[in-house]
Amino acid sequence: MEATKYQVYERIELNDFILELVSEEIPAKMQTPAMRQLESLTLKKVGENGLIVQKTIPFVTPMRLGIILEDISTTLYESFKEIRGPRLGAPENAIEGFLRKNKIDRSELQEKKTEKGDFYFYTVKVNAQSLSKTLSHIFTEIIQEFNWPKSMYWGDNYSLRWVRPLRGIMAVLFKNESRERVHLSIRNIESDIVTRAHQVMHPEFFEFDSIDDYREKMQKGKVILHPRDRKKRVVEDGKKQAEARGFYLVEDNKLLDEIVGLTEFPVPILGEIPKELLSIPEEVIITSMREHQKFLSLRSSASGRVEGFLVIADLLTHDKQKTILSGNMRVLNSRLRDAIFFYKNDLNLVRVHGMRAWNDKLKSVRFHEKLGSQYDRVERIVKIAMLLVEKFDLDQDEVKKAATLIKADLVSSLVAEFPSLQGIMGAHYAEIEGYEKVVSDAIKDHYLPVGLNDVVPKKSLSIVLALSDKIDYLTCLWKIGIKPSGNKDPFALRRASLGIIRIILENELDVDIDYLIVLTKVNVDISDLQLFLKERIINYLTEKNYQKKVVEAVVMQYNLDLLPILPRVIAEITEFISSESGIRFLSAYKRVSNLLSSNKELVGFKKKLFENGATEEDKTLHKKLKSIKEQVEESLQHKDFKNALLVLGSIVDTVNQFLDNVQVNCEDKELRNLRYYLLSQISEITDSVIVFSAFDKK
Amino acid sequence: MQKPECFQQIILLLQNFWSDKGCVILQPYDLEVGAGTFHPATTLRSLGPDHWSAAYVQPCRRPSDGRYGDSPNRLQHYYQFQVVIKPSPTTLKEMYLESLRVLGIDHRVHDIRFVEDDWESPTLGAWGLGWEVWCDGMEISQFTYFQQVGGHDCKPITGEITYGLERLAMFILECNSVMDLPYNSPNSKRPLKYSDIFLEAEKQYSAWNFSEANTEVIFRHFDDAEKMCKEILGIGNQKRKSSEKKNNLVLPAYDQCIKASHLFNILDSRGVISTAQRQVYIGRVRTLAKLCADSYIAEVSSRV
Repeated sequence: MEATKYQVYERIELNDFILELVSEEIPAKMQTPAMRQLESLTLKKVGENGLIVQKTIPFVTPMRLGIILEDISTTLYESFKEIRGPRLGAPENAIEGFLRKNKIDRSELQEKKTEKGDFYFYTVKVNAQSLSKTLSHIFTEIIQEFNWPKSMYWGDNYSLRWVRPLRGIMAVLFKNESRERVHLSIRNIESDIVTRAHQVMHPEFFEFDSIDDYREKMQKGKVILHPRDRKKRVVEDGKKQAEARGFYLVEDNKLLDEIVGLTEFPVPILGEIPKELLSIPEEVIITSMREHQKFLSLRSSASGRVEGFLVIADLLTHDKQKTILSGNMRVLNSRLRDAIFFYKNDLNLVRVHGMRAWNDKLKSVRFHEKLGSQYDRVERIVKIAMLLVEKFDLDQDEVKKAATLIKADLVSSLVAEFPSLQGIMGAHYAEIEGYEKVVSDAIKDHYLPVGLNDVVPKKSLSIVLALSDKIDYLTCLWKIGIKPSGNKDPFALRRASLGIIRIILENELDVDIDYLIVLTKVNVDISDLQLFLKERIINYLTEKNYQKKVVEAVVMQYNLDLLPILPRVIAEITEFISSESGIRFLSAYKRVSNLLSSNKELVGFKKKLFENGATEEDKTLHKKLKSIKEQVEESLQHKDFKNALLVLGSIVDTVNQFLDNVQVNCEDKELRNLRYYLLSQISEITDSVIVFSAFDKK
Repeated sequence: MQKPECFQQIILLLQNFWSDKGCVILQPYDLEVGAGTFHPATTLRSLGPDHWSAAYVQPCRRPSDGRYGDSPNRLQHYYQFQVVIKPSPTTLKEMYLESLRVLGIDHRVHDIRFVEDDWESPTLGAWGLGWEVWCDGMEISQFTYFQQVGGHDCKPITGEITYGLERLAMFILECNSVMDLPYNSPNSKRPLKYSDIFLEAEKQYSAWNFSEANTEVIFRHFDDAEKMCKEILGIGNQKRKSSEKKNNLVLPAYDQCIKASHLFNILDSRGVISTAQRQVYIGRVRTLAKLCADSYIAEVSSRV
């Protein structure tokens, strides 16, 4: 009985929207990634739902994750639905029934002619999906789909996992002058139009009538919405305070990032370390303050030593943060006293028994259940290092001393307390015990490089220890089947490999990794490990902006012994393929390859054909190939790729003349075979330098 | 808001506060435990569907943390004040902050921070998400939403607050060494310090834990506790078949699990467990905790 009909009207509006997801404290390290995720999900869904947004501004603090959408333009679809009723002249009870069903009055009926006759009609205006509804739909989905690295349930409602209990949702849409709550209902939380600023300094709820008003009230209410702005405040205010008191800030970006994730309104407070606590190595002070208390270290401009700190509070108090500082000072005091206690213990042991006493203790420290103790590991490292003495022109005793002490500090009480001080304390104690500077430096530097931006060890002894340590680590773990897969690399084998690669490259060492592997005498699946190392090399050089296809082709074709000169070789090949002679060579090489691939079966021919039957072109090419083959071989023996490429480039004219003037697929079978032989020679000689066809392979 | 003047007053204030919030005030569990979480009022009660609110003081033993009473902040025996509420109410964090105010910690003067610290107990097969709470840089509490205990998902979720009483008291009473804490009121007839009560114990137990404990006997006790726990639960090569069991005696079985855990801690601090063996022992205790949790859940659901 019913028929419907839609009519569409478009309407464009400009609006602003703000969403705040208020929760209990979000872990610092998850905040910025969450902010990025919220933005990208929003952009995706906004597009899918036909909205255009001029500007998206995400923000995050420990207490809130949110986003502002500015100038949202929408196209709204409004429709009309026509419902057909009974025929004109239908019985009265049928008409009554239609009126009742649609809850309308007789006066709202219209009469219309149709092909099937005259009917009563009723027209309803169907409201378009409002922007508010669309936003509600979008953000309900986003909240449900949001992916935290670790999430949880709370209370007795299991309809949402969130990073910590979600406590409130604020969602407001501004159209011109009007304000509207965007309805969101998630778990047992209803969206609201009010919010709060700083939970201690301005805990009262407030309303706002525009995005600007929100921003202003947040600022007044002591909340800095963006991590970037909080960081700026810490650095600017911190530097100002430091300078006024004769200090300067020790850079620590990682710690800064964490601090701004622990505060909505960071308040740096400057403190000075009591003189009597300065009797330990500076690294210990910095590490203790950083790891236990998240203090930024301050260096005195006068002495150049770390003698002060900034504690970053989340509060301004009526006593100008004095109470907060004194509490923090008390904790610092007991922490540094602990450290001094450990340090003195260590010093006593070093002075009485020497660091070697620690090596015995290493016997009870397990390295890996299948690989024995740290002591066993040190013994292996010593053996490898001793085999490198000659190559690096080092003093045998020195190498032995340094290698033996390499891991001793692992059982010192300070390193047990602060593992990140490994190496640093070892070097310090070695100096105290009276070892040469090269030895103590090697103990410290053998861990390098750790991060991607770390320097590599430069001194020969440090290099030998670093290489011995890393190659032992890599081969031993590889042997027992611990290999990285995907993004999982719990034993950081990639880092160890990259360390070896960088040490060789950046010091331009003539060291073959294969040789290092042999030195370890570890029985390991070598081809597998070589492939892994090659992947690391490719990865590293590609990141250094070498051309990927060239890097891949060269690394995969050659052994690891090419590594020291690899950047140069790759640069030379890259230069060649973009040079004029290179381009000409490659196009000739391509013609040769095409012909060869059309003829899979290579059969023999009689040598005497060259004297009788072959053309001048055949003969010239044959002669040329013979001579360049020798030259290429000799160049490669000296790893002189530049010359090898030069030689290759020199045959272009001969090859082109051959291809232009000779019919390779000639009638004479013998002659045909001879020509294919020549082509295959071209390919073979070229490939012996570099397989250019690998460039095109995926 | 007046500041408490001694250690015992802090305990009394906390007990009254949480009693007013509807918690039953329990007494410490009468076995050696490494943390207040081991009390069956937390571990076992956090399992199953029943609602539950409790608060109690629990003495904790950490054999390897002993320093013969010499360290200003390390003890082998100390107190925790434990609050568990299931299901975790939405106002739990506010209640906690209110409890600090009751103790004289004004959050408008002190910098109170919730720093991510996910809790995991390898021996209990339990984990949860939460924070350690810092007050002016001093860690004074742990705040956790339990997600799993004994390998079972918690439903409803229990919210757990653990106050480290000595540290909290050192902060409130501005003491630099735990031994200097006034235990009772400094104005009482016979004022006692923490050292008057516990210094000798710290010395004796440190000696016991580090060098004197008869490890041969303790190894045996560990094996016995493990065996008994399984036996009670009707697992392994005991004479009775589990189907013949009349009673589910999970509570006595769990006692044996707690004992095994503490015995392991002593062996560990005696340095007689190698790093390789360590994982094995932790695994054995975890197995017991898991078995107890399984049995407890079976018992709770059979009650319904």
